[in-house]
Amino acid sequence: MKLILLSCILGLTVENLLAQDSICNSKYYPINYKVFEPKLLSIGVNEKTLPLPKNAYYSYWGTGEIILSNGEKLINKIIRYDGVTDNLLIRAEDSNEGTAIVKTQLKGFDIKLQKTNKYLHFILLNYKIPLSNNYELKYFQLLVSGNASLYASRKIERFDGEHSVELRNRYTYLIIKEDGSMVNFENYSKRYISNQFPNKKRILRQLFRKLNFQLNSEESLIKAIELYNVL
Amino acid sequence: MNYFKINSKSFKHLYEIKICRHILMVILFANFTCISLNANSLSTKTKVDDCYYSKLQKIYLNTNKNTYISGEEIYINGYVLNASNIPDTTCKIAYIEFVNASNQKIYTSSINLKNSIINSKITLPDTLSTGYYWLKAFTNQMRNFDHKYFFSTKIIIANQSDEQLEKLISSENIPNIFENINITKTNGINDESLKNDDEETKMNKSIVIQCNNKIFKQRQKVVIKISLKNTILKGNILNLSLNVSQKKIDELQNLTIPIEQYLKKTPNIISPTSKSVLNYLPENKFKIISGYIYSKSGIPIINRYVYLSTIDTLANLKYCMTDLNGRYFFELEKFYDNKPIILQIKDENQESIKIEDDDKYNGELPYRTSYEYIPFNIKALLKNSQKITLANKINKTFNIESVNSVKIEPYTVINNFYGNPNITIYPADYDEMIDFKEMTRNILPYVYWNNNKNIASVLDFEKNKIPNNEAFTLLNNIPFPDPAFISKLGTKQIKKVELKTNYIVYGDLNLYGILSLTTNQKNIIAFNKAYANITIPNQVSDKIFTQKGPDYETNNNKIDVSDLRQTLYWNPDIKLNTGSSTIVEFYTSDLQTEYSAELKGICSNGTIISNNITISVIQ
Repeated sequence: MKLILLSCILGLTVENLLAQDSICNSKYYPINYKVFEPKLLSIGVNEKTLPLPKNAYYSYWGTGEIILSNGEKLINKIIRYDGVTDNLLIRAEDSNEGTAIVKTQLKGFDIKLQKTNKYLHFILLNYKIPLSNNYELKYFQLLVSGNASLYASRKIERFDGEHSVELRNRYTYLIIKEDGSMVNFENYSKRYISNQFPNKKRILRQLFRKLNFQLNSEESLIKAIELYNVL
Repeated sequence: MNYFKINSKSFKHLYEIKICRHILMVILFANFTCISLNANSLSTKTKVDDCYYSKLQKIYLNTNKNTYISGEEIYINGYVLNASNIPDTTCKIAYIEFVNASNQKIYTSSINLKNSIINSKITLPDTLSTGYYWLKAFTNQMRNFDHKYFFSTKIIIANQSDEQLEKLISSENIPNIFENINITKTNGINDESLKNDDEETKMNKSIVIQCNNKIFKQRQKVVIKISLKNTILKGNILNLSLNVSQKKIDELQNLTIPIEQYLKKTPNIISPTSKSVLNYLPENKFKIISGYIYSKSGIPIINRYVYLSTIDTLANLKYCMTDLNGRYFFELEKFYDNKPIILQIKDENQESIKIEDDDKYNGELPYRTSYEYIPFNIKALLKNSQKITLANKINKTFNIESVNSVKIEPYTVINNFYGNPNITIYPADYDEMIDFKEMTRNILPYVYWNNNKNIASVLDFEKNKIPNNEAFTLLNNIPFPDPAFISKLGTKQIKKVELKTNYIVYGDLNLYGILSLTTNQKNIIAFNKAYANITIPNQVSDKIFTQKGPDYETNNNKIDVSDLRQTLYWNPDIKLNTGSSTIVEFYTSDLQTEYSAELKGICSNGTIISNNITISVIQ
């Protein structure tokens, strides 16, 4: 019986796969619709001057999807997020050189992790620089989406020593609340998180206490925001 | 160990069952796969056929009048329908063509559609001679089929200065415009819209048009209430147009085919012709321009870059690679509307490459022309209209402003294709330099001009060296200018120099810096001889918004100037839901005649609605 079911599933899968393939390659389509794909503008970077860090966040080239500001998606592009310059680099299949995509064209990108094949979603936000009135376009990784959304900046800071260059991860987090206001922070603190949501502050604190919640990592921060979103 | 307890007979039996089961599995699997393959090939073909190949889009236009005087404006409203006779909201572009009786094109233009609604105006040239004219409309998808399915309506135009109207000699009946069309067999899909007369009457009764009076004085306020009575539309949105114009005379009623008749006579599905490939794509997003690139001997040139640009204050560039048939395709955003399009392709041997654009307006009129047969009694109407148009022209010079609602549509901000320049230099800020070479030596240290090759290179700031490759040069934002021409330009001629001092990648074009020159004299183009080029006009019709004439309650000061409007009110975009109503207000003109308020519309489910009332204006 199991085998019969299995064969049914296989049959249906083959059908779906072939249906997609033949629609795309059908002779009835006079042109390859890729000709209408929007053209991306990217600027050459001198990669030699950039340290290619081993400990940097996503330091490798991977396939991903680029989401343009008009909502269109460019799929299967070879991209790399460069945390040092906060740029999304792109390269052609036949090229070794990467170029930095001009940010104003983008809404974000999804990059595939080599190990887990999971996609990480990055969004370009107009970020208000702390203690300044200026804004900058900055890539943030989307960690939680909901009434309150949690984002993380994967910045890598470079420290030039006398004989060597040291790179350090500096992750900052950003919460965008329902009313659109933003708060950014670097340290994990239960008090700080519950203070951000005054209307549910008491319930959050009680829950943290009851659950014996330890906020000491990115994973626990994600859980805390998810907890707020379900309240 | 139990296994051995089974006797040989039962073992054999079990073994047979197992084999049978496996065979059954294989058969089932094969069967499934075959079925799915067959289904797939069929479904694919049907899907593609359904989408593009055999289903005919339809287009229908309403005009405010059917007799005009040269120089007047024609207000146009209409709909694009799909093969199921319901508004085709996926279609974004329609084309109109205005041809005279000798099939010469007087005016061609595209129209940007919104929710399948056509809403536009054409200003007639002053020089049109008196006679019959055709207003044709079609979509790009309709061009794959016989051009006899294009919508067309006849209108009569009299020249402003033609006092004798000599061409209007006969009182013969106007021929039916569809007399020459052979209607092919329809498959009758979704014939819902082809409702019987009773149902149509029922539908028309569901829309009520009420007026505050039947007879009005000159410059009196008219209030029309439009209400949708019952729930027959079942939540669908109704797009209506209201036209209050001088009543059409009976002899001219059959110049335009009614929409119901047009839909009945035009097939929904057309059996595929000998053409194996669909040439003209449905324009579901932007306008598509396409064409062929071939050598002088007629061989298609494949895998070559074709560049598209237009003269503008911003540098714009599109490119595409020719396919195996030597064809190119471009999508044109609104930015390119009403701007001539320049196509360029590298032609090292000079003049060995030809670019041929698919002319969208190359369709032939399948109708018999009969411009001379215009009923005699229309002469009087036209002569009267001539006087009115003249008076209206004079009024325009007195600057009588009509109170028209103007909506400003959001416009997408477009930047230079290469982003912001790194360096901008205005040569007028410096001493005079006679040529570009001198300019590079003195005020453009980042530009290296190669005298032998007449090419410019731009310093790469990132690598801090001048690349061996030529910089991408633009003259008035048009790429590939003539280098000999550039070399002669000095500070007197050049207004602005913009430099992008990076290696940039645009799509898959590698550009080693950008050198963009803007001249003082506008629109100078100097084409490089190594590039074949053509220029394509890209006219797009203006949108027309509500036209309702002057407001005489607030504009009392203009009371002395005569107002002889024949169209009192025109609103192509009234939206109604079930049970809702709307009120429109406007003023009558000084023209004492009968006016017809025509309400025409189509529901999102394809239901056609029309209703009208007559009002009179007396002294």
